[in-house]
Amino acid sequence: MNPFDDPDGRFFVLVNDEEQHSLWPSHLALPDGWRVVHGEDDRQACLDYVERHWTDLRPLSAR
Amino acid sequence: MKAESTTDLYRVVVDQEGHASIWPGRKPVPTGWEPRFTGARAECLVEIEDRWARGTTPGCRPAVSLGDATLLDLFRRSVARGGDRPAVSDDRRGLTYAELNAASSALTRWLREDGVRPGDHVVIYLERGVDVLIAMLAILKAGAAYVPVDVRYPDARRDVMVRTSRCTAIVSSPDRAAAMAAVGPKVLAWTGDAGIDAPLAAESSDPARPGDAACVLFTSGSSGRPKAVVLEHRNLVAFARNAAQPGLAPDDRTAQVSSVSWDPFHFETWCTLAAGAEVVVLPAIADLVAADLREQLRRHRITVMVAPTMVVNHVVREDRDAFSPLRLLITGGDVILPAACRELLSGTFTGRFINMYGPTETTTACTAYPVTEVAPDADSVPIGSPLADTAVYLLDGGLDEVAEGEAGEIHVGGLGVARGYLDQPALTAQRFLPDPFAPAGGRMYATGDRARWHEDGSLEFLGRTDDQVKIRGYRVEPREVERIVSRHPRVREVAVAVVGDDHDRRLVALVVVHNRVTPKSLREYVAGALPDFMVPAAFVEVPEIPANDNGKRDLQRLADFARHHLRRGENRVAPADDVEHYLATLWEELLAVEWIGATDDFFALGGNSLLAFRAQRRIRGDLLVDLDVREIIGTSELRALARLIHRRKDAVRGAALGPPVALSRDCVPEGGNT
Repeated sequence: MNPFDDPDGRFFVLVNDEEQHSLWPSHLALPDGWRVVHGEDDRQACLDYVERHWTDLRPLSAR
Repeated sequence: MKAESTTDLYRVVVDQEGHASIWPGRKPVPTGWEPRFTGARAECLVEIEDRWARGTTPGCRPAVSLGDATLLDLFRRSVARGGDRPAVSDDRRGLTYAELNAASSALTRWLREDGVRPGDHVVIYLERGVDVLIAMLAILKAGAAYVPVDVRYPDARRDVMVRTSRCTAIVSSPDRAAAMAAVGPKVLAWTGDAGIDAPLAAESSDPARPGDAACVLFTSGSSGRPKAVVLEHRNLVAFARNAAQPGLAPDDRTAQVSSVSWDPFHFETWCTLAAGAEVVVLPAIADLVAADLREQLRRHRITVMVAPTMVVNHVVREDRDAFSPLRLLITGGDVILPAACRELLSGTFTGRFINMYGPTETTTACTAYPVTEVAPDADSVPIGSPLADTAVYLLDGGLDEVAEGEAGEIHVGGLGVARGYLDQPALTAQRFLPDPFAPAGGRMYATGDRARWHEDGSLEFLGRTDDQVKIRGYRVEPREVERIVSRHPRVREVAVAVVGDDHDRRLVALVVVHNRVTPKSLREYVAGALPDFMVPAAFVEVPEIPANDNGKRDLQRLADFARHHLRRGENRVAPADDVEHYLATLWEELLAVEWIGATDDFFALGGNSLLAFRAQRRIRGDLLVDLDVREIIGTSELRALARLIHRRKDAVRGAALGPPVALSRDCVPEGGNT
């Protein structure tokens, strides 16, 4: 199964310099150029965070 | 569907600034938040999306250039290289590059005067033709993104697309403008004829930047609503520059046959305009096939065409030389059959034949495979290797790359990766992921498709990781169809199953009803809300939806159940004469349905225009009766078609009717189970 679909998984919310958000399984190494803005937390809480905070999907450089 | 218990309920909670979130129903509402809605999780998510859709689109702030090209840069390069060369034509008129440039600039001025601003989304609701290209360019020149909506879609679907797109204006024709006025914001009733001779204003004020949204496209969404994919200029520029390899030349003529709402439309338009070649708008592919594809391609001097995989699979089985006039044939959207490739390559077609793969989220295509030969024992045709500026990774559950030969989920990085799903940040964050193999901060898209690498560096497609299916090349989430069917007041429960093999998949809706309801009324209800490729081929009333021991629905079992119900012959009227017997055998083969009777309906059993075309060819070859494909489409009952054939035969005396043709195993498509 795709680890991002695991309802019982533990996750971070990551953000890059363009302020694009992503879910990220907490047991994996952090990818370069992304920083943790939420978590570790359960999947739904991370998605809720994203829904609340990523209100403009345009990359920062296109705003 | 399983009823949700109260512990599965959620609330939509809203803070003072209007942010909405989902909150478990059993937990107390947190301080500072107010409950606004209670329901199942999915319903709450839909409610949250609706709240977003009701907001306003913020304007586009000035920012630095990314130093790359926009679609307009590509277009203007072609204008500069050959302003008097033909750019686009339809059955009414043609425009040169200079004329297309002038006409779109004139419309841009009108859009601006009507309040369209950079960063806006503008719906194009026009018949396919020259006007669509003028409108696309005009909207981009205004710094806005275009949302192409197919005028053949049902009104309800159109309305969802318009609403979901957050458009600020709709460009439509005078005859459609009135109907659109109730749907969305400002409707521009554009006659399409203004501006070709208008003097060109200075073009330097063009506000589009590579990172700006250029286009919004829709794909099926399992939540019951279509997903709006936002593509940026740089996505489409990378595609247009790259997918046309081996390059289109200015004297190429590309057929425009795709729905404007579908991916191939981008190849047809942007790859062609970027090359300074001509877009030739033709009737929809089904009509071309019905009217003799080869003749149509020759008459219109078409050299380049994107044909959906299903069309190639069907057409070459009856006429392997149908695509012979082309220099470049591109196919994609589904699994191409090895047998179809062998047929095509063994005929008079001498052009290049490319099999492309890619979801909308990676801008139409991300891999390509030039098909030059298919080994006799090959049971699949590769989808090829990544396009330039595109990275394809096959990953396992730990996001590590799998070894050569092993199956992994296709993840796509690079310039084609779209911005995301409009107003669906949580969904975007689950599918558009950090690309751990790319330079810092890069993103990749998790496709949900499975593949494996071959030794030669090409990819073999292996199917989906979830329920999504392709119907005639279109992505369909059966759950989205279920949600629409379940809104019918007489439907208690529904499951949408997928039957047929890879080259003829169709949807069957199994319904448990409250009160009696005819399949016809269910079909009409669904056809009023969804495009035709999402409407189930059959509606079957069942006492209950089969589930496995855990109470979950078993997809394989659903499909078996649906097949069984399709084949039950309770009311079957046995075929009477030799023509009816011939047709029953032919239909059984084409429709992959057993036990066909004289009163069965071709379309109710899953027939479509491509299958009608094949029936026409077979009847012509076997019975020496030359029917028009439209006659077959218009005479969908078997007995009525048999009568028509008798009448034709009587009219042409002397043509002997042979015995019913025995259909051997040879007639079963090879690789049909790939």
